[in-house]
Amino acid sequence: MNTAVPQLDPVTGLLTRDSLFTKIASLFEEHSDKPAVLLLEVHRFKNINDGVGLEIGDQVIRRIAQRIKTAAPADACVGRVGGDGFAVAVPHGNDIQALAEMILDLCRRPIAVHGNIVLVEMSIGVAKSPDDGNNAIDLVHAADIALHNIKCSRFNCIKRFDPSMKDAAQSRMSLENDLRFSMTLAEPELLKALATEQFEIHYQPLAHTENQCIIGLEALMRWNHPERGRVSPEVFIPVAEEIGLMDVLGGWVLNKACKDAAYIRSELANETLTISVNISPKQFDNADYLIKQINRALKESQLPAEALQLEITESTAYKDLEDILADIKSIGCQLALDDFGTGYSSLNLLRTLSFDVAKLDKSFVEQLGNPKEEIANADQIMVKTFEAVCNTLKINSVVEGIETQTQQRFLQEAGIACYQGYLVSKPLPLEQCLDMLRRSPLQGEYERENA
Amino acid sequence: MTQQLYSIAYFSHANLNINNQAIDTEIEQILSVARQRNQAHQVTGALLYSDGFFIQVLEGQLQEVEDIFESIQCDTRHRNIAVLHYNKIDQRSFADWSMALVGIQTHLDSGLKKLLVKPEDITATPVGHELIEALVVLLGKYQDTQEKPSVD
Repeated sequence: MNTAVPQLDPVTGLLTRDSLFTKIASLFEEHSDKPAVLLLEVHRFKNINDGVGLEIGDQVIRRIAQRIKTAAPADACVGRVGGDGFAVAVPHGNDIQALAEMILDLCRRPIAVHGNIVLVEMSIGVAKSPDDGNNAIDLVHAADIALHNIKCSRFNCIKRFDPSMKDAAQSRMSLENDLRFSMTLAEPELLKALATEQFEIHYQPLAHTENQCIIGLEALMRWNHPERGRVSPEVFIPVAEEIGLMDVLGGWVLNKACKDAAYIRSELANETLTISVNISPKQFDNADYLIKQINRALKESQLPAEALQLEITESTAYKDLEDILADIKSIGCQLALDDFGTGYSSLNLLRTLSFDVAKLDKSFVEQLGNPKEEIANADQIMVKTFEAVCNTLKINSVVEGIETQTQQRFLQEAGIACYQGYLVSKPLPLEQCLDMLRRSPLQGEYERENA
Repeated sequence: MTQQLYSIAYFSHANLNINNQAIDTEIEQILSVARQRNQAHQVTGALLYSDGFFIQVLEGQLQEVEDIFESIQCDTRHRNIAVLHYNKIDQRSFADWSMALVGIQTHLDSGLKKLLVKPEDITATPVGHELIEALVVLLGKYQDTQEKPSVD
């Protein structure tokens, strides 16, 4: 039995990570019934610290620690295992699911600190011995994998470890290494061409709802891995964000998309087609660098600034972005709020951050053509409301994910300005996209013909 | 120099699956503990139990209000807590009450029903102010119909 005096975290008075590990190891030694471990992570705690300051952030952490202790049974060991992480180890026999639910319930309740109300989001990874691990290291590792598994999907949720998660974690690790390798090729100027053989951009058109003319293209990244084949951006962008490669990758996309757009406009003798490029939240962490990248991409491609539209998601827009967005606008670029409706859906955001365009997420139009009226109605109301908001705020409305004529007709009736989706075209590689555009009506031509 | 006063009001679902008489007893217990604790910290306020909801206002100095609010957050006798307002105030609305019982109602007061649909709907500060006013009115009505609860 370990008799060392346990070390306590100075902020919360909970066990430190090392002391907790020792305690879990002793639970394995002392009890014939094996323990379970819950790993807890407070999401976006950095935002709380940034928003209310470190001192108040510490008070929030103290409150959370106390709530976890309140929920935990008397024989539990509770520790702080990181800036925003906690762990609870409990001997066998406790109802682990009920405990996790109670911790989640208490921690998500409002916290009053220094005149502020703070709400936190938390996820919990659970591992039980002996199935998920038969020693302290394996058990904590399993809980960590379960927790990580939640982080990739959604917050405020509890997940028990299962062995398939381990395979996914290993596959992710390997993907991370591949991405690093690929990016080491991207950085040096001489090897850039080599890297672009793996990354490429496909372009998906946006069409005017009224006259069906194509008005612009959205640049979407693709990664053609030599062994894995096509790797989805939904897989590799989060990895790139997490390992700090988004600046380089985002810069490459900006350059390539602007050059391709300038090339397309010149080939088609069209001066109105726009190009939309998605900007990752991580790129805003280094705002000066982002502005330099935008300026460089425009200068090298000779693309007019007004032809470049930068898209940010709602989850990015919660950051304090007024200055950087004002800088982007002063260059002359347009701003679009992407995936509207999936995040904060803040009308205040739309109004104060001077967006030119808002794009309603495709999840709101999937049921537009549903024969069951009550199901179709919900999406119809959402689209109409979205249009009314955009109209009031004088923002161009775009709806994503349009696949059928029925959906398109409804958008037209609802007064939506533009749409995007397979009905116009799927995302295409540059030359195929150019061929498609040569066969399609374009907004610039329509304006000339109707002048 | 007098310390700045704060008022916090919240709305929650009660976790009390018991009959009306037992609810009265449970709420008396809640009040008894609250009154002792609030008096010790110079915190005043009001509590309404109505149709499965708690509505409570706490008033006092910052640290005291926050500490008591925190202990209420750790209580599992309610859930889905929504803070209606948290503001600086010039004077207390329930100065004479360590915790006034505004009422135990089996049906939600029609005045409050307009304000309270579900916790997620109510975050705007004006609703918080309206709520306080409604509670003050209710307190008056309740006092008229009941023996005045013991003033601390």
